Amino acid sequence: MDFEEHYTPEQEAFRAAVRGWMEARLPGNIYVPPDEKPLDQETQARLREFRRSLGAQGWLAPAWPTEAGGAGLSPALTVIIQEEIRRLHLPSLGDNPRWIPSIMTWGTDEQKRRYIPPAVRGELITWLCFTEADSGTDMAAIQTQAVREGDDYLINGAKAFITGQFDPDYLWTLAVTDPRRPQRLNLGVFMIDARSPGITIRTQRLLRGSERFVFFDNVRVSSDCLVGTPYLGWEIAMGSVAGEHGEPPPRVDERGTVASIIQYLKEEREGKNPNRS
Amino acid sequence: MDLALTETQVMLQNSAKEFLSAELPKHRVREIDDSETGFDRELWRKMCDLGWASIVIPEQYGGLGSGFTDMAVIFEQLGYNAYGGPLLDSAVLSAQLIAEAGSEAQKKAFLPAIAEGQQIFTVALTEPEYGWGADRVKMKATRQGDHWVLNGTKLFIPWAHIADRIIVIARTSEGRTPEDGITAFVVDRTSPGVSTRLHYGWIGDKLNEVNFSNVRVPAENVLGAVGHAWAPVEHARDRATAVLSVYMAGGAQKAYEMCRDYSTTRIAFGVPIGTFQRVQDFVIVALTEADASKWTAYEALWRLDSGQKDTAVGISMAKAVASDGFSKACDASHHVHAGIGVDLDFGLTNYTVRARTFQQYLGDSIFHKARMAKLMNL
Repeated sequence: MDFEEHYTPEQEAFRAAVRGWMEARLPGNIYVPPDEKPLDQETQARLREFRRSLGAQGWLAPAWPTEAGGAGLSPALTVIIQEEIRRLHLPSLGDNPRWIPSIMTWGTDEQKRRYIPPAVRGELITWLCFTEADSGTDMAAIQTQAVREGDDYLINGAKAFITGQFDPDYLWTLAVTDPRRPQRLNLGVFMIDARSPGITIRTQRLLRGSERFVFFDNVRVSSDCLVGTPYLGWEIAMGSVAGEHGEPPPRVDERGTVASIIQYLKEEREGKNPNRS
Repeated sequence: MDLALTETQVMLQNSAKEFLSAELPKHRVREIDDSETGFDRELWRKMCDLGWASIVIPEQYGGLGSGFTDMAVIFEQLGYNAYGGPLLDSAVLSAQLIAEAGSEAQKKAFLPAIAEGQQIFTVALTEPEYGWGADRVKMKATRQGDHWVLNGTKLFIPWAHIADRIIVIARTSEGRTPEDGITAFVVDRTSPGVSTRLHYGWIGDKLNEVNFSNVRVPAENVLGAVGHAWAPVEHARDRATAVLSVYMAGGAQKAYEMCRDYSTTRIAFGVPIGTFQRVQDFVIVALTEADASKWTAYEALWRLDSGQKDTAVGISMAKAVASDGFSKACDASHHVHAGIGVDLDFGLTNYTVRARTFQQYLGDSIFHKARMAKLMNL
């Protein structure tokens, strides 16, 4: 066994170049409220700009071919990009990996064109909207309804514990498309324009930080924002959840926490009292 | 053995239950905690009108002169309702210190006002080198003619921002042991050089950083004898600790009841989640910790009120159990509640933040277990 991370000199040089590039472009004096409330408009604008510059480098999809908007990088260099982005401790920037694979698999060509390139360029913020107050673990028990009306769907329901500090562009939303069908065979996933009339977003304050409520009140969406078939939602949502849980762990952060505790204890022993006011 | 409450205690308990459920409807605790001072003066006035601040103050100084178990019965309900406020610090900790250490004139000057709730006192003991032993009192007080001068910082002082007076525990000399040379000063919060700053975090009751910059204290505001305050401080701390332990037990009980009830009403996968054994385990943990906290606390109070030997050991044991138990009960309740449990509007977090604060306040379980070992000559 070998627990050490081995990066070649070329990979370390790449890391240094990436870090330098990011540090030069990262907006300074970014204020992220510790209670994780939504960011103010100026902060959002500056961070979106930074994200677009990452997108222009292909670094929001580092392993993808450049023709698809990626950077065509090897797995090792992809990990380095992800680690360097994570190191910046930016607020969650829109969760592309959690829905792009599903659209690649189930979306129409038109949907792929409509959503994926702007996302890879860093122009879209998308929130995952699955959880509800009465259905967390038991996700199949959601109550949000999507009722077909001609070429549209009407969405009604309330989502809770939704993560996002930027104003969203899209809501990747799970809803019941036919309550008469058995659970898990009655769900659809919709890529809903977050500015649609009838959508209200409120902050849900938590013991640490905050999340959002998202209320859908007769929100009319075109049926062309349904991804996959009307009853494929469970499988698609499971893919998103698996994507979320399969993301690389924040190794750099973890080391930082332990290291800072050790540092604090050493300083206590030496009689230095950090952060005393 | 008789674990029943006296008639008086039952009356106090019932009146506390009625009063608090009327005064603290579901979102009121959250509103008070979120307000600028975290202090509801109107509610305080009503509690003092019921006589709650007078219970353990001696009769000749305007109190009821009752036992600590009577006070505890009320505190159990306060804890159950997650009430925050200066009742413990003013009417128990400060009042007991004044009663133990103060001159006749000082007792007459301060205790009746505390008993009425007209004046709010708090005690400033802990410092940046945090701890509850005499060795952690390093802030100096120096004599200058007919007065003393205080310089230094105290941290995590409850209610200092709204107190009328702060009893500052400071060091006036170095002795053979850390307990020698400690003095208690009664300081007006509005004295020049006194400033307070609220701490933020998982804090239920409001705690302050209090800075003293050349604060002049007249000699007559030294509580008792110069250099001999530690023994009274420890006695007062013990009595407040016994009462606090029951407050924490009340909070643990509520955390248990919340998860017990939630486990019977929350449906997932078609059944109440209490059907699942993993969920039941947490409910049982919460109940066990609530029960352990309650009975070690009431036994300690019985020792205190009936003058048993080993009272200090019993009090430290009660706080050690409650320090860990209140937090464990809240943690278990959080496991059962999952997401909704951390939603600030739901109500469980009112207990969680208090469990965290009081875990430390007046000594954590490590401090108290070490003290037990020392008292037992281990």
